[in-house]
Amino acid sequence: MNSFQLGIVASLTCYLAIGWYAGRRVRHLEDFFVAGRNAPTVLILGTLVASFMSTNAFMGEAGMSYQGHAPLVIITTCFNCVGYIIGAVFFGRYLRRSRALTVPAFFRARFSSRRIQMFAGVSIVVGLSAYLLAVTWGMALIITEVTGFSEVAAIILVWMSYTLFTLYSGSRGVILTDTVMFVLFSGIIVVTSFFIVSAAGGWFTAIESLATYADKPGIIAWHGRVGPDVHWQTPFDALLWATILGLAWGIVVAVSPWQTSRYLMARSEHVVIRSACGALIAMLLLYLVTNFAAATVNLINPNISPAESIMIWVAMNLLPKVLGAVLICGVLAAGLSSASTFLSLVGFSVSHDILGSGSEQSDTVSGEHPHGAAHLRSARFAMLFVGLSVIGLALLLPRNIYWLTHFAGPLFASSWGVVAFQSIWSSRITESGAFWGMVTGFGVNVGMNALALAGVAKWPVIADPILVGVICSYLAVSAVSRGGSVSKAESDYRTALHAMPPQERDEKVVRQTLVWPKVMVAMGCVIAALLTVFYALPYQQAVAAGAGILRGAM
Amino acid sequence: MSGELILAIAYGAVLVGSGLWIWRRVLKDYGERKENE
Repeated sequence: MNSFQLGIVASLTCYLAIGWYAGRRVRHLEDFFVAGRNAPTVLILGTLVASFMSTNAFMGEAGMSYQGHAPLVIITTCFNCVGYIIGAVFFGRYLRRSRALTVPAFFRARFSSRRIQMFAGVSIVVGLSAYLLAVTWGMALIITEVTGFSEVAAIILVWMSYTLFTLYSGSRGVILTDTVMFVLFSGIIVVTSFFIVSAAGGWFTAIESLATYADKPGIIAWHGRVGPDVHWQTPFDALLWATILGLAWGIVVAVSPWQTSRYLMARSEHVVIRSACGALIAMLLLYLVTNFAAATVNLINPNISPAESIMIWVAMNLLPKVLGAVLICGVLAAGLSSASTFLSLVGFSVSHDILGSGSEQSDTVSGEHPHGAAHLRSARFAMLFVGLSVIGLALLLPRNIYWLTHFAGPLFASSWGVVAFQSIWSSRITESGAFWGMVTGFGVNVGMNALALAGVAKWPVIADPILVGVICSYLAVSAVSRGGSVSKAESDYRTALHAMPPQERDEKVVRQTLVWPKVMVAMGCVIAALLTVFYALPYQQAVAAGAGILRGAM
Repeated sequence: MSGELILAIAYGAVLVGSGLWIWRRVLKDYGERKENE
């Protein structure tokens, strides 16, 4: 057994052990669905980042940076990370206040509507199953490359590893393993970056070499590579693309079920706010480190193909064996953490929102529900059924990781974005408006993506399906709501959501929460200063020196 | 001012701006006693 095989088996065993430990403490439905609503900041922060960063971050986006577009990934991150703050303040903490078991169940309670719950549940099943499929393929690809296992064996190994602990421990296990995985992939990517920069001759040598890199000119300029041989012709095209995609993914971060459902597990509203602040900091740092490191790999080996496999190449050729194995485990951890979250959410939606009665809040303070044991059993069966369906699809369908990822994630921004925020902030949105707004956003997004996939249409960046879906959803909500009226039950529920629980005003707790924005301001100043001194200024000097040498030669 | 310098400052400014805004929001929502928000 080589070091990669050993590392993968050891890490999977470790996750199973953590899942088993967490699963022993699952007593009620609330334990399984929302981890007893008692999770501290560190666990919510860990699961937020781990469920967002899948194998795509260390393969797809790292590959994009290797090809010369790291600054675009970084600009996109600037915009989408703000979604954490907006989502937590304007939606997440109210979602938590509702004490719903799932996000679709919140929509049901808010609009007194079973059909909205069912539609939101179906959109989770469609969107997250597709995402789960993409992540399963991504992880199987890594295992196949580094261990030599067959593709079928790799898919089954991956599927078993995330299914077993998710099935047994539900959200309790998922948030614990997510946090362990978050620590693992964050730590190893920082260590890996040191090795990459060191192999490239040190930081300033690397910046100077990249600034004047002839094979991929502009690789670390603010706009990345532009020109006739890449997708973006001008710096403005690149900036527009990064801005629109960043805004669209910002809405995904703010309202998507695999992010906002984490807030249902938070111990308090302060935990929601603190974890959102922490996720913003962690994402900004991780994306910066990962994508600059990926661009720097060009100076060590400019011919890695496909570009998506650069971290695998680094693990196998640049790092010492043990660290290489840890890096592979870290990339796998990013995939496993997303997969376990997706599987649990799809299972919850099938059992609770679609097939179940859909009835909601805890009937007792202890969190027990009537028929809780039967409900728990049906949730586990639903999860197993979903898992078996996904493995069947993974073995039968042709791979299309990129398209599935970019279809499945943003689907929720189009379908849920407007309705989620208006469910809290609009007194005029009606049940019909909310339902048709969701259906319209979903339909427009799926329709536009289907036309693009079939080659019938090629949408300009300004007409991105995510944003067109959001706008159409807004128009549908406004038009349909204008023709109807808000029921007293809907109005009362919204009013109740805005009633602040008195325990949230504890002065000591508020002071603890205020530490997070202080850290954000301090870190923002430090990051801006460090990027100026270690990136912007040496980059300008290197470009000026390169231009001088060129003039001298002429 | 170069684009790289703007990018460097903007990256930090996202954190500074978000931090200041959250600070104000937490004080406004949780720092004062009132019946409803």
